[in-house]
Amino acid sequence: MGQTVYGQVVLTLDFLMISIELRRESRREHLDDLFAAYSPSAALFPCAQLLTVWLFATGMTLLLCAGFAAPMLLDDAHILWLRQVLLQTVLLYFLPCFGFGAVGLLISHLIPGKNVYLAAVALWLPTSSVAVYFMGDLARLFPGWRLFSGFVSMGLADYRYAWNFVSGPPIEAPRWVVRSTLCLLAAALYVLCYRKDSLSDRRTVRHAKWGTGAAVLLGTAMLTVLCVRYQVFFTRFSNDALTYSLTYEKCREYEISGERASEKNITIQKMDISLSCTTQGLSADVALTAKADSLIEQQAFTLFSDLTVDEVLVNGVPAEWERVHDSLTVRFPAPEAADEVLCLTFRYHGYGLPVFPANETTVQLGRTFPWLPWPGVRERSRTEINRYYQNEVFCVADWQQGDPVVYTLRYNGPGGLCTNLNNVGGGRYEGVSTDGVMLYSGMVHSRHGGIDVYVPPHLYEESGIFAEAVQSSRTLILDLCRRMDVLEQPEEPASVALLRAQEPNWGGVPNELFPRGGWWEIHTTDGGSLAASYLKRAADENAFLTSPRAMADIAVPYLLSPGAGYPKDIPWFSTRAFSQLLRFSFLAPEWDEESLAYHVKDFQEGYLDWNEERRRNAEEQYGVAIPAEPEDTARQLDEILRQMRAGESADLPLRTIYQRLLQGEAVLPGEMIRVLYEEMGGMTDGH
Amino acid sequence: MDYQKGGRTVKRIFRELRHDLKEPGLNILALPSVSLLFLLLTCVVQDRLGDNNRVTLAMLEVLIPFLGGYASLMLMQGLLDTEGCGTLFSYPRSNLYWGLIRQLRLFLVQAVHTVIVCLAVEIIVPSASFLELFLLTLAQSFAVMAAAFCGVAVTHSVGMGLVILLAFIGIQITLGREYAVFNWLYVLTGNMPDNRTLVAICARSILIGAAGGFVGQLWVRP
Amino acid sequence: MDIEITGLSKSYKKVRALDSVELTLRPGIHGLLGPNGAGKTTLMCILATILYPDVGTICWGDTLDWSKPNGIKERIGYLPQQFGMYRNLTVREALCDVALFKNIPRAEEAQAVARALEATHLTEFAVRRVGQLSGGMLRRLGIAQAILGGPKLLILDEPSVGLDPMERIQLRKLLREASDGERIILLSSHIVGDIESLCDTVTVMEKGHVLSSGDLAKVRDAAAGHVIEEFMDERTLRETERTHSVINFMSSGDGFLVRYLADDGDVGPRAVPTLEDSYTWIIRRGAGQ
Repeated sequence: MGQTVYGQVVLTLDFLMISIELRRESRREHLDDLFAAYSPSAALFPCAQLLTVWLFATGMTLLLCAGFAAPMLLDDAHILWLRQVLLQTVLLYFLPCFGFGAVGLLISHLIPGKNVYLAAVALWLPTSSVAVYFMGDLARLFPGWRLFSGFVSMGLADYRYAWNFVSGPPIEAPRWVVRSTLCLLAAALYVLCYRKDSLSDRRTVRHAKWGTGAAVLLGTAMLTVLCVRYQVFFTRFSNDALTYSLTYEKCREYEISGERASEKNITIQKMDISLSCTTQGLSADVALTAKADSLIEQQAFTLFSDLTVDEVLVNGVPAEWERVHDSLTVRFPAPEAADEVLCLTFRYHGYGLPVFPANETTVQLGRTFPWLPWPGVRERSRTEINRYYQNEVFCVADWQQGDPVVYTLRYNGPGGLCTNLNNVGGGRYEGVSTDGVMLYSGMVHSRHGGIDVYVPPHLYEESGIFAEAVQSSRTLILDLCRRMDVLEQPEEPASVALLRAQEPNWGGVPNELFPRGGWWEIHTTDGGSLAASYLKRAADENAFLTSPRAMADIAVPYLLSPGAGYPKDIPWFSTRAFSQLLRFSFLAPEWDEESLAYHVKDFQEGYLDWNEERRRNAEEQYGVAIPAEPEDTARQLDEILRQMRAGESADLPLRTIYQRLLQGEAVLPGEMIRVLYEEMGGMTDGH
Repeated sequence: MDYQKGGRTVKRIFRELRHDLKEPGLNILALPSVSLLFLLLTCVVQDRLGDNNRVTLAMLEVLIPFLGGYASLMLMQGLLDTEGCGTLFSYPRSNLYWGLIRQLRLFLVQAVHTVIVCLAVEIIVPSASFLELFLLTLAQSFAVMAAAFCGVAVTHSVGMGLVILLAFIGIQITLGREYAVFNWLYVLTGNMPDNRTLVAICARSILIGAAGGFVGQLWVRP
Repeated sequence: MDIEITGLSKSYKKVRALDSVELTLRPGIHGLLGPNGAGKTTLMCILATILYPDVGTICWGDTLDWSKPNGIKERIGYLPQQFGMYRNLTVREALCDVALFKNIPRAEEAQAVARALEATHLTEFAVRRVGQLSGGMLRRLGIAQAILGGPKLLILDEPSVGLDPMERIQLRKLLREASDGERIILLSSHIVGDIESLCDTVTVMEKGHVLSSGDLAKVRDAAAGHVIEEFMDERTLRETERTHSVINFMSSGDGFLVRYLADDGDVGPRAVPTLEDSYTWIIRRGAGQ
């Protein structure tokens, strides 16, 4: 993808310099006078110059489009993906090249002489794709800079933009509108300035000056309007590099949110949702039919804090409500008796998070993300806030969503929707779920071996691989679950979806598989699936299933994820140490002496040899006393790994440790070593 | 020793340098003004980020050498890309003077500029070390200025020279992040480089600088 | 000391700009005449050590030759066709810097600059930026930098372009004063009148060849006996334009006083040729050959 960035950088710079040279060629003033004398309109010559730039930009873009489209057509790429790539080419190449060409003509007209280059570089640097490399970090610090750089950017807002695989590079209306406007403004300003300077009659010059001034004001007004309209898009969604930092900042709010946990006192029976996703974010009208579980006067709901509530009605009567961060407490006009059916209507609008976007380009609303109001407010642990990678802290609990609800959804937003509801046509979706509603746009559906697969268009050809990878991974997971005596086992996949999300890195290797019943999700950040890549590299399925690396990298991380029932509050050092030891049990037979020594040292430094400060911090955070480990522990670890390398099974002691972890016990790494040492091959001190 | 003659020579060199710095006009002012803006920004960024500041050193790496390269281009504009510039070649000065000697003097000016900026950065950013920062930036400036000189000398056009300069920097910043073989000069992690990296960058800079200077000088002619 | 140019040739890709040029430049003012593309500028650039010839030698006296340009550069002043340097400096600063590059001693610099400013009537504009000068003033600045330091060889490529009539008169005065018997001044111009009033010797070039070279009187007489001047009506004038090279015509009463080159056998009152007549004659003869 660096080639895309670099090529775009050089092309835009070329257009800028060429258009400057177009105006700077020697004896230019005579040519200008000549045209002023002969042409019927003073605007004809600059228009011709702009047309020249436009033709060059068009020709170049057509060439690039042909170059991109040809191999895609040969590979039978999905039409959606082809469309995205072609539109992206226009957005990345044609508009910036023409824009910089027009700007070059304008500045070389306004600034004759050598100083034009200074102005050219000063304009090009912050608006080109290069800007992200030395100014990208500023965007994290200053929202104003984020808005400015996103708004005026004529290149890739972020290097990782090219990697966004949810919908391929998204075709975002705001970027099109703003870039086209900037190009038109530059071109119009050039024509007007040229015309003004080439007129000689005082009256017409005065008129032309007024006209140019008016055009400048109008242009400024237009840009201001666009800035206000698209402000949130450019500050929150346009720069992929900021996705996780902005989400992390939001995550921090939960520490000081002030919201209180609250019970769920109603049972939801039906939800009628009207959802519209536009440039302004999402706006929703949710009519909730529920039954009171007991006599209640109010009910708290969890609704994401960046969604602004406009109105709440209870049985058609406006109700009072109070918002504290994610919590929305609705006070009923009159108390509701037990088993009373009530209808609550919520009207709200706003934005999801960058990791859960909902706008005219992309909708990625997971089931557990509170974009719908869910009864009750759950406690959030420090572990979630400190160690989760942005996702879990936002999510509602299973008990908030457990009711079997009949859903109807009227949806207006980006297409290619992947949802757990059924599409009945006309933008309407219906279904019953005990799991909430998920919506992922820009997905292409196919069927492989009886499994429904949903992937982004550019991964369409690999749909079959993902289905096989999930099936084979389930076999691995079942094997490990059996060995570790895990009761909660994943179901056979009926549907597989490849989604963009970053998951907590519990065991050193992130888990990418998230089953909910027969619905399996592969969460990945870069469009690749570890399971799929291992399967592709394996000679056949059997080789995959017997691969120690596949077991270590796919099954082990799954086992340590909440999906397998693993507790969220276990200290990270316990989880990671166990993950390492479990992975070692599979990988150790392949090690040489050097690798073994390396892993011993690595584990020792990571989990055993802690200094006072580190120990104290962990104790404060988890309330667990962490004593200094005896020196002998490293030797014991070395012997354990040697036994593993020799093929000795460590299933029994590892199972013991795992079961203790499942009970919520914070087993220390040193304790794990001792358990393994005592139970593996009857090793004892001084043997 | 003829001190008078030596003194006259030094005065003459300073006068020539003064001409070289004055002739490009506002373009040379870009160096101190942009550097000042950068330092002001550094103060704000350091205040916000403290020990986690990875922005300043990365920006310094890219900005200061680029300013040196830009100055190199502007120095040659009057000689190669102006109407009637061939007149200069009729004066009793060698092509070597118009090319490499003036560029080397400009490099010394850039060195002074780098000293000031790096000192200021060391004061503002506690984790920065002046010596390493200065060596790194100076080495990068040497290579970048040579690339700019080569670009403008070969093309006899400041516009094309600027494209070559930015393409040279751009390829390292963009492609160099994916493929290390394309990154010859930049660290870009925001951290101080270790000694080994520093030595490697210095060696590559000297090589690139020498090659760029040599090729550029061959093309310094009317 | 004379400058001897022997067998000088220069090519640009497929274009032969100079072809075996043989020329002697003596102290005094030497004019170069020729149509566009004749090779005048190329010859001047070579003499100014800006370009190098492909073949040929140029010697100046017994000790100086163009194969060692360093010695030559100290002695020349050059004004190119287009002059637009130092736009960000003031006029005085620009000339002081030129003096610096010309190795004029510091003690003499101020005086030399003042002289150049005075000679080109730029003293009152000394503090104005070069970029703010009009076309004529810029040309005068170019002349000033060329004459700065009193070079022994002055090469002026169309020095009067952009100068108004008064400025052209002053330029002629300047050049006549500069021609002190030892200095060689080589100037090219499309204004034949300037050449005729200034130059001691003239060379006519076309397509890289020297067609004629020598004293002004000798070159001027080249068309002797071949120039007819007579009165004719408009119809006859149009006829004559089709069949002969009409050099000039002036409206006079009901008709025109026409001056044209005669072919052999033409009958008509012969006129004393001017330099313009002879130039046209030489070029036509060169084209015919």
